[in-house]
This record gives sequence, structure tokens and C-alpha cells, in this order.
Amino acid sequence: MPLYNLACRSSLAAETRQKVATAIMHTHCDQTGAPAQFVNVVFMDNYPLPSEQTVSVLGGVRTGGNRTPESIRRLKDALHNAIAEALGESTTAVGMSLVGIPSNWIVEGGEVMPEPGSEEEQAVAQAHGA
Amino acid sequence: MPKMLFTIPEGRFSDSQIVAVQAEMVARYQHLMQSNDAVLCFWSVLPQGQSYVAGQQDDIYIALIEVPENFNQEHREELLLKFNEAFAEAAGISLEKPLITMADSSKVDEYLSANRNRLKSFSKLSFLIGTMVHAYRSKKQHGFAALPTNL
Repeated sequence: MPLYNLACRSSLAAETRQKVATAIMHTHCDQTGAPAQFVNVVFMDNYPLPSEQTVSVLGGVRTGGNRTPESIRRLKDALHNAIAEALGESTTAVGMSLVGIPSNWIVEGGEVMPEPGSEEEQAVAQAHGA
Repeated sequence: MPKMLFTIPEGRFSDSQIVAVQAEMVARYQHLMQSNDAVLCFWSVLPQGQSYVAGQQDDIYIALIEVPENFNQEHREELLLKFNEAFAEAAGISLEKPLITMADSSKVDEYLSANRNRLKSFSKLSFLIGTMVHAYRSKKQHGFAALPTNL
């Protein structure tokens, strides 16, 4: 976690998918300090999106720890801009919503996820090769 | 009725292996939750090239498991590790590979609702019906209820 699920109006080229996945990883890590190996991205094709959108992003992100409503809003805005740029589209072409999930509802890397920004998070990252 | 939503890579498992993993996960759920309730299971099978981890193409193995509202946290953490072990063992993958979430019913509803709400307004009903028809046909043909990854 995070898990970013991208519903696309049509199938994106492999190169575009790579650019978007890379942009999401960098943006998420820059904004939250979370280790890159926790950033998951899934693409789904041919979804009937609102007419102005080519991609709609639904992100499941951890809450708690050092994450405040303000930091989540900044994350959402930064992702919105970064994904639009990677797609070569305006931000109106990208739908964006986030659902917050408490860290301790999740197991990843074989362990219950620590709170965002905690020392335990960095320890988990180091243990898994970040 | 509680739900389990699985996401796995295409081509990694045969139909019979998926059915076996599902049977194991449901049996564990009923045992660990001390419940005989039926569990609704759905599978998303992701074609190669549609999943990324840490910015690189990679297979992902995800399970979203619904639990009752305000589920005891101590119990949740204990069960999370057991489900992780069960999923990894049944699927034949390492313990580090699965991403498992045990979410209260309201959170599962919030996520599924957010997924539907991003669709064009008049497509929501046909999406829901199409998804259920696809799942039903998959269940009849393959033994498990698959959700369409690409429409």
C-alpha cells in the first residue's frame, strides 16, 4: 500500500504506462517519504469514464502517523499534476480520488504495515531492500 | 455476506489452482472468524504489463478481506498474518509477496462505491450488470467468479 488503480478510457501504450507508474512512485515517495517498494500501480482498460477524462485514478493510501488531511490533499494534488504530465494531458483529463486505510489493517512484505513516517516504517523498508 | 476480492497475475495459476486457493482462504476465514457464513469471492486476473511495483513491471498478489464493522484490532493483526501465510502457501508464493487488507464493511463499501462513481453516470448500472454477468459466466465456466479487468 499504496495501491493506485487506474481505469483508462482505452489501452495505454506500454511506454505511457511506464511513465505514469514511475511518476506515481516518485510523487508518492516525495510527498510521503514512504519506501518505493510499497507503491503498487494497476492499469485497467476500456472503462466508460466521464467525457472529459481519459484516466481515472482510485488510490488506496495509508492513514495515521504523520499524515494529516492537509498532507493527503497535497499528495492528491501532486499526483493529479504528475499523472496528467506523464500522460501529456491536462489535469481535467484525469479523475482522482483517494480512500484512506489505517496502516494496521494491512499486511505487506510479510508484516503488518507500520504507521506512515514512523521509525518502524524505515526499518521495514531497510529490511526489504529499500 | 462478507466478501474477499483477489487480484492475481494472468497465467500464474490454472483454474483448478485458483479454485483451490479460494477454498483454502474461505475455510481459513470461517475457521479464524469462527463463522459458518458463506463468503463471496471475486477474482481480478491482471494481464502481463498492467501491474507495477516500485515503478517497475511486476506481478502483484492482492487480497481485500471484509470483516465486521469495528473489528477488534488485536484480533485483526493476528488474523492478517495468518491470512498472509495462508494466501502465500496456497498460491505458492513467498510470504513477502501478498498485499492483504482486512477492512471493515464500511471501508469496503466506500472503496467499491468510489470505484463505481468514477464511471460515466449512465454507464454505472450497465457496468454493475456486466460485471455480475461476467462473474456468473466465469463461475460456471472456470469455477471461480472473475471480474473483468479490461472491459
